[in-house]
Amino acid sequence: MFFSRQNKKRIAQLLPSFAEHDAMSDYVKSWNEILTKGGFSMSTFARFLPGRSSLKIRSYLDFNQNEFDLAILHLGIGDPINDIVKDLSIPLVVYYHNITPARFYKYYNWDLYELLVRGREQLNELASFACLGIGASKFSEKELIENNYRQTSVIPVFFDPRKLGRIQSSSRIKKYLNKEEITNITFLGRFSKHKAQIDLVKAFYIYRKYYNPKSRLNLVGNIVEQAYLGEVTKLIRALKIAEFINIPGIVSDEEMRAYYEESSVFISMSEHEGFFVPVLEANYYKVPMIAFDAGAVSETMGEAGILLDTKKPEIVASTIDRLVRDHNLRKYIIEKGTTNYKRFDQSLFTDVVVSTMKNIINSRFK
Amino acid sequence: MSEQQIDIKLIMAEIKDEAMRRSRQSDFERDLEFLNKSVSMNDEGEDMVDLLHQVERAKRLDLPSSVRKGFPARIFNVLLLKLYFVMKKIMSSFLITQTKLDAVIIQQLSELKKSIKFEQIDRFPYQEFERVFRQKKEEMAKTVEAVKDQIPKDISVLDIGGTNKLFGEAALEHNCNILVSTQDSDYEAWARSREKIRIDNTPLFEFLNNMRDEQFGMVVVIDLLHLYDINRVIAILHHAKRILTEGGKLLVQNYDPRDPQTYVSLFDPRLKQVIHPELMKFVLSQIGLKTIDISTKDKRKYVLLATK
Repeated sequence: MFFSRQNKKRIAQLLPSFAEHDAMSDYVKSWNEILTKGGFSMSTFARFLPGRSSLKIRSYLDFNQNEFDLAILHLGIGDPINDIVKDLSIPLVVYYHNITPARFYKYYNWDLYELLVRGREQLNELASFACLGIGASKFSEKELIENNYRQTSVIPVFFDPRKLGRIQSSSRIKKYLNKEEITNITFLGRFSKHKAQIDLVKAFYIYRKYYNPKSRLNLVGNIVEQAYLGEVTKLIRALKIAEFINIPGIVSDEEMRAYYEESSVFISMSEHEGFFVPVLEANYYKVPMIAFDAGAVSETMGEAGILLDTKKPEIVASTIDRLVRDHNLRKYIIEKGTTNYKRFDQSLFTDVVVSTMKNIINSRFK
Repeated sequence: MSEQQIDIKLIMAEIKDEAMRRSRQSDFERDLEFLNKSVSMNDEGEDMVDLLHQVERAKRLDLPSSVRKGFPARIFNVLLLKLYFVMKKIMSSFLITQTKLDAVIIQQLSELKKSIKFEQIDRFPYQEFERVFRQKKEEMAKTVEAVKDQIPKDISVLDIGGTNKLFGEAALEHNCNILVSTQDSDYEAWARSREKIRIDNTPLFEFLNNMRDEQFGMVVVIDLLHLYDINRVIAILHHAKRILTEGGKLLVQNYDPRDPQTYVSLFDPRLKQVIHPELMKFVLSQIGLKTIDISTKDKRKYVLLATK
């Protein structure tokens, strides 16, 4: 511990909304834990507060810069909280989780569209106020550089395999997925244009019809953009494959584990990922994966999957078939996966996080 | 099998071969054609959503609650939407639009399909045509060589279309940050390993509409404008001027109709018209740009450099 109790430096973390089981909130909690152990006194501020939380969260209206030596803003969407950290007299660090390009939501979710547009404006505006921009991936860091951040670095989202290990698999879902020895192909992610479920349906149609009639596509995830779901189901109906596609909506952790464990292939055609956590989950649950190369997918996946540079249904279907049948290839990818997720273990980044904040407070970045 | 024996590149090549082999079946071809057609959000859908957004925005205004909520309001909204589409249909018959022209082409194509064996046309060796008649790499290098000195150093460049990788290389040599609006997967694959090139796949006009004013030192439009109708050509050039910084340069390269050899390169189903360089200069001057000619060693192409 490099600060004495009397001389503890104080850091504020700010984020738009804090909620349990939310990726950004979990990350804030991890940083809170690391920096507290590193000898800092930590406080967290949010605009939307949780009803109940393991971490004490204060309203952003109570944020007073005079109480702190450093502020860390977690940026992932447009929000008024991103404006209150401008022009502080204490150093500001922007942790950029990445912002989904607004165009994906233009015809599906107008409110979100406007927030995403505002988020990118704020990302740009904050460049002149931040002494350091940290990207969740190299892909995010590139955007920070493009927005003229003076200093940038990368500290990835942490992956905690122990948390996944504690989850019990749902036997009900396992039973459902195993019925009639069907090949399960699964994607986990919210129903949203940029996640491109429509491309999965197209590829699955070809795969089922020309390669493997005993197969099922599971599109698991929160249904927020109803209009996009409508578009996907319209295509499913037109192709007459409704009975082979399972859309369960949001699932519990136990059910999620069952979906991973019982799937022959995890597949993603997503067109934008600031960091791609499902890759690491698939690695952990030993599911070989196929993904379209977009955003931070390739750097998160490494060699632990097949990266596609096309979405042509015939190529995607052929890749699924190869991965289902070729046991050596499956084994190779699963083996690569078991080392891949370990690259994102929290313990590897503890020192970097602590020393970075210590350096900033000592004004090395100023 | 040990790790050394797994070669992902080789496996991908095998996967692609298998996909090609299977896709030769006639059923498979038909299915792919259907899947390719099923694009997200058709025109009517987009209009519908735009209208719904307007309704959403209206809700935020201080309208009487009876208009916004409840069963009668829903019926009213549905009737309003129906009325909108009926009016749109009536109005569209009075307008000569691109959609109408497209409809004529589709009509002609379907008649053609009925009258002859269409499969014969599908077998036209297009790749072979490209190999023989399209501009060779060394010829492309000649035109790029001519414009290379015109690229300022350390600026942001927007490449609309992104067909010319050699230009990309030249701009990178000048330490430029390059944003490329393209849907060309070959170009995208090539650009992926180049850090200073960023690709945007958004449809061109949506992409241009989203661009801020005065953010690029140079905009290049290489071998693209002959694929657009006149209104779109003018719209692209207007956008280019808008997003150029003061003193910024617009580089336009296109096929030169003064050289008869040009026409052997233009067996392109997307071709709209060849634009004479004098006409292009006229259009650029109307937009308010000062234009100079750049001479190239390839007679099939002309290059114009316009300054804001």
